[in-house]
Amino acid sequence: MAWRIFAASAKGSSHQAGGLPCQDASAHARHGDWLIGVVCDGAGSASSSHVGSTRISHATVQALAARGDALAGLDDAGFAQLAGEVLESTRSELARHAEAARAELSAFAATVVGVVMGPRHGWFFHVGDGVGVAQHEEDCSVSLPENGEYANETFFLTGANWREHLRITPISRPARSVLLMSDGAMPFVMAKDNRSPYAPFVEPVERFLAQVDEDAGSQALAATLDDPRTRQITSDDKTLLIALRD
Amino acid sequence: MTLPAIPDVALVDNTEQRTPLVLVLDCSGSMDGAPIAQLNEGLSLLEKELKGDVIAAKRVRILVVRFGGMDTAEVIGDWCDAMDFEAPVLEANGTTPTGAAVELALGEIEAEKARYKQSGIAYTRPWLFLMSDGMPTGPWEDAAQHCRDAEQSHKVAVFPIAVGEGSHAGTLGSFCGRGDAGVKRLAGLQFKELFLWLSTSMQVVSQSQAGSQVQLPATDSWSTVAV
Repeated sequence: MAWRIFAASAKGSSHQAGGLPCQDASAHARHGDWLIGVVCDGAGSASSSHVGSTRISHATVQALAARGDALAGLDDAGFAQLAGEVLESTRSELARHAEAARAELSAFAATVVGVVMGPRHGWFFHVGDGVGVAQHEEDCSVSLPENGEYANETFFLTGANWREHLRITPISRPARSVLLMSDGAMPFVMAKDNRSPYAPFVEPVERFLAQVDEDAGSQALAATLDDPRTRQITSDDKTLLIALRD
Repeated sequence: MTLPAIPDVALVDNTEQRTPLVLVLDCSGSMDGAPIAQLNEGLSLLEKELKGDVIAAKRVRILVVRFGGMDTAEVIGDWCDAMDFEAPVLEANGTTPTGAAVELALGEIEAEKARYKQSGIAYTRPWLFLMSDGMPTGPWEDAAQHCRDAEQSHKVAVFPIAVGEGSHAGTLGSFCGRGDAGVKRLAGLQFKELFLWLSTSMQVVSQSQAGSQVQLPATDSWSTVAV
């Protein structure tokens, strides 16, 4: 009963037009029957946010995987503490990198939406926007974006008050699939009320992924995120990670 | 090599993000003739340009507030999505009740935001676009203070535009936090360029993403340089 994990990012049309890199990044790992995944969205106005999103996603997943044996024994408070420690150390490492590069930490600004999910339970951890969804048999657990009053304002791990914006959402039941996405993918992956994925998108995607290996599935997912129809919906980068339980 | 995408996938926009824009337009007697004709052309252009952008057409919400007549500030029509916006044909006559018009616009903005909140609709900061060619008639200082306060508490972004020689940048500047420096002066009657700029800016803002600093287009095509 291992997780199969598919992930892809597609550069948004505004980033293409402006010669910007894709500022989204994702990373994932398996530890026994536990899934660990992170999606980061680099701030559009921060010059090195593509480096920030890549470093944060990879370092966070590695650090959690290194503590993989302990995951099954954690309660909610224990996980909240672990997530806080791991993100603190990821952030410190990024600050050292920024200092060496003679740059401000804010130049690496990125949001974080992550998941640690076992056979029966798990948690989302989240700073800023993006969405996490665990699909149970009947319903979903969702970690929603946190924006300021305005839709184009959010919070970043690099912000001084990131701990105030760190949200842990327990997933208390088994899930058949888990999705993490950046805010660019949200308009077409999520349904209008944001309480569940949009079935006409997610069902054909999951049906397809169930029949292919991880590499082929991630490549097809990348092509889907880059579909010209998405440019009528968003000009932002789009990232989607989907984990399916066999 | 282009890889095939996953078949039979629906790709539709389920977001309901909005960018509210209130046009507060001086239709006093001094605007009669060429200015009001070109303002009307500018509004038609705004309609056409926004309808031509698939994302902006869905997200930008427009309200027109006209002021003129017998010290009258009035809403023309109602809030509507840019895709449904039909540029009004405005007539110029009467006085310049700038203060009453701005108060009306600020109230409409808060009411519109309250409706978004009630329906769970995300939105970007509303724009208040204040265009005038003359000195206000009637009280305006309190309205200017309210407008500055609203801008300073990030409730609204204010863009005062001075038209012609009769307008006073100092007075219009009182409506925004940056004072005189925040006022753009329309070069001649470049309404067409002004509304093209507004349309392009709305396209940028309505599609802005979290954490982005919005880079607005340059205003040189319609604005004289402030000295």
